[in-house]
Amino acid sequence: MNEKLAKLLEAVEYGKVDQKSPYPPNLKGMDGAHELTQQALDAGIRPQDILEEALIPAMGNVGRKFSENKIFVPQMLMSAKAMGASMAHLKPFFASGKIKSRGTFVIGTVKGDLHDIGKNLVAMMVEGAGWTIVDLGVDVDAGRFLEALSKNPGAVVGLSALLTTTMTNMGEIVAKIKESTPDTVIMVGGAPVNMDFCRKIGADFYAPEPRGAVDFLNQLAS
Amino acid sequence: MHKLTIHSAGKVSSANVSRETILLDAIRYRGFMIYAPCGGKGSCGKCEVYVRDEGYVTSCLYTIEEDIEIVLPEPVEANILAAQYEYSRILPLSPGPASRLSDSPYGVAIDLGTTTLAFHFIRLATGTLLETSTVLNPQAKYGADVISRINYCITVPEGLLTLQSELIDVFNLQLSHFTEKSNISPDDIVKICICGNTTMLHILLGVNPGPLAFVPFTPVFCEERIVRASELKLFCNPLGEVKVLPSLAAYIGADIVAGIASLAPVPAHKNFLFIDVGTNGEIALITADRIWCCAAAAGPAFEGANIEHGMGALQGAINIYYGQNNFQTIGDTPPVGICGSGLIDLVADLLRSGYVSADGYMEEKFLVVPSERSGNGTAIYITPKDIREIQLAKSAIVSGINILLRRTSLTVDNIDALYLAGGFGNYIRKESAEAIGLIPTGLSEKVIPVGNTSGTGAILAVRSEKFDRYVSETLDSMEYTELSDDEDFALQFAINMGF
Repeated sequence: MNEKLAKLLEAVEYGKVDQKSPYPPNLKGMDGAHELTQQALDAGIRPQDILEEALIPAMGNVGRKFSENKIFVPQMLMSAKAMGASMAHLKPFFASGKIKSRGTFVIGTVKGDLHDIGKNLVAMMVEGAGWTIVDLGVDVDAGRFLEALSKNPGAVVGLSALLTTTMTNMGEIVAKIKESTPDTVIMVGGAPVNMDFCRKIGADFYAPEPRGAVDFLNQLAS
Repeated sequence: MHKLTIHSAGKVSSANVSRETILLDAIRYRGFMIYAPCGGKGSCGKCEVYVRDEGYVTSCLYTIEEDIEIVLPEPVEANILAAQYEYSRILPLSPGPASRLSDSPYGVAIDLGTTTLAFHFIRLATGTLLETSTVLNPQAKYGADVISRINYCITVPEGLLTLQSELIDVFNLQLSHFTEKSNISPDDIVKICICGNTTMLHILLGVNPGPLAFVPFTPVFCEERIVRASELKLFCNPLGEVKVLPSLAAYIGADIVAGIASLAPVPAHKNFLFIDVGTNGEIALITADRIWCCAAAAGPAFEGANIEHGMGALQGAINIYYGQNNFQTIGDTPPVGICGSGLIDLVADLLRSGYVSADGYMEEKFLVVPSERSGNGTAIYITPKDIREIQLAKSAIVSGINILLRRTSLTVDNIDALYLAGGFGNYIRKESAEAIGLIPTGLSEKVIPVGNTSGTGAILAVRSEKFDRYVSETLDSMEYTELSDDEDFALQFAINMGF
């Protein structure tokens, strides 16, 4: 593999955002995802290759290590930040069609709930798998999901909740989405959620951690 | 129909149960206490009972399909250290008009916690604290944290009534136990003051706690409530006064407000922290003119829930771990699990030995006590997932501290003391708490354990009407920060998960 892409892959996998970032300590002073992406573009590497050969495999490694309990939320968050720094350079190429998105993923934490760490991690992992993200934030009701779907027809929807109490709001949102666009694929996740609950409320998919969501979406796209 | 025979505390009882009843439900229905922190979802495995000829089973996952005989675990009374008075306010005795309802009046101060209830019986003529008893909150079988209790109230028909009755029943059991033992009439109990978190107080008064669990987390009531004892059907003087102390917000209850009001800090302490580590972690930063506070969703890890061999501060819990398999248990009995302070010691020790790395990674579970040395024949381990739970809990607390410090532009150096409340503060070893990063570096030297301040607040309220003034002064100067609204919180929370 191209040496620059290998370095970028490493920077994203270990959460090196930019040169001045003190994290991780063993990469101190070295170029981060921000510089390395710019260098790759300057060297004429195709944006599509940057995405496919560096970012996607890096986030794939991160997802795998997380599900094996080798890393935890902080490391994953730093990797996501590094990916975000790289993505900032690639955004214009998505807009111009030079990079093909695998699809659109609309995500939000459901009504009544303000917890967004889990939701953000899933969003970044999915973005790192080459999807376009529409992040509706927290405390999102059915109306806002429907509105986002009308602007992004065919998008896959992800619902997040951290509390046993707010989780119950997922059912209503799933029902309203399915009523308006029965073909919309809906994924649910969050600490209290499980497969039984997912089936009970008529959602299409549940995974206990972000990697499962990414695998499922990639199957949909392929 | 099947026959269910139950052995508990040396007694045998039997009952007929319909086919395919879940064992946990059958046991509860007959009034036995089973600890099920996950609320019977089958995820925690703590509601184990012994089924004759079958061995230990998880009772919430076990369906009764034939006649069975079961043995319940030994009931262990919760053992929380009594309130400490060294740093509490001293007020003149003035129990108020209710004390005139009897010639020899008594009062009861109750700390209504999510996990534990503490009852303090007081002779109002002298203000003497006669007796303290602690029991587990009987609602524990419906889930370890307030969210699962609220969920029960809003999803199960009559759920609120069920949870309210659980509390009233245990109150009455304690009241009659005391009156019988002391040979006094229930009519002599004329004043009851109660502190607790906002959810518990809602449930106690039969007020729907639903709104507390949804944005914008607005309590139905925060103000002080005074009701007649007869309204709650309490076994005491029907005209007796029941005072529920005021709360600040959904997650800063009367337990914290009265706890802070009960403190008599060292005069030299100008800026200090007050932290109550219980099922939730409430943090207050007290400065000359304001009290900044927040509630960190630390979760019940330090109460032993979500930890494979975790348990509350009960008999047989490892509460201090010295390293090299040297430890102490509560009651000096053979170990059966690990409570919060023991967990903190253990993690600190595993970090020192390198068994757990600074990012919380642990290759394999660690054997703390082999089966032959344990009190129940089961080996005690700490697992990689336990370490993650502790990372989440300690990060919630330390991030809360940091956010309050930033609000006030103070640094750790400006903090004169850290008053640590909660049963767990008494056992916690400062160096371990600092080693795992539960307390910011530089603060561990300043820790002062103050015991159950919520209970102390309730006692002061029983003894003296003058306590009201301190409670309202405290409330007036409190400034609440909702952490989930804070932009910095998510990043802080992630960064502070490292050890």
